[in-house]
Amino acid sequence: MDLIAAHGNAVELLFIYIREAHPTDGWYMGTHRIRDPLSLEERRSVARKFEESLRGRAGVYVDGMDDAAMKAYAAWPDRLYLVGTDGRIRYAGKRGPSGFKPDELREAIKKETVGRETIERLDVPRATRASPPPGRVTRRQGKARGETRGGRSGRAL
Amino acid sequence: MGGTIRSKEEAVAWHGRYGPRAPKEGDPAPDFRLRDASGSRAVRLSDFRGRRPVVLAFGSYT
Repeated sequence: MDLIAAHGNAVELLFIYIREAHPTDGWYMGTHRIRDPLSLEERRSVARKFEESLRGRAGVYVDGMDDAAMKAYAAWPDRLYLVGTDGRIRYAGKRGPSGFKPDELREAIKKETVGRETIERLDVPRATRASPPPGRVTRRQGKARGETRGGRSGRAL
Repeated sequence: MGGTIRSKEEAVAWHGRYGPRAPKEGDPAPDFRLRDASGSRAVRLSDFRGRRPVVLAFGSYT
């Protein structure tokens, strides 16, 4: 999924496996021949196949047999959301398949993470430039003392 | 209303019931605690609060 490559480090990606959309024992549309799992273990088994296809790039989590998460988010058959660090919804996609729009989500992620990057860029250099921690020696100080990289100052720099 | 959705009519009825409950932008995200595909690791949505934005991608194989 392009989304993982583009934003895998900026956001947490949770794929949530829910009730099948078009299983052979339901509203079957002739695509994948999978029945709707009848137990949590069966759901996990199908979810593991999906997880393998992601090659460890994101975690797949499994909704309970009470479909609590699916119902709370009206997420059947598929749906995308972005949750901000304050725990509020930043992007609420429409229900799939017509409302499943990764491009919209991507734009929402950009807006959400640009602010975070700005904060980090402002904060981190400020903290490191202020003064080195006690016992550490800056490269300039090390040169003035005649120390070289690889020695004591090499680790400290 | 639960179980496998077997027809377009059942899908419409399902969305009639649960669609209005879908959280909108600005709403608090409903919390949940789910286990991963192996069943060994649990995740709680609220654990990410104050740390990282979270993408929720709901879906199935079919």
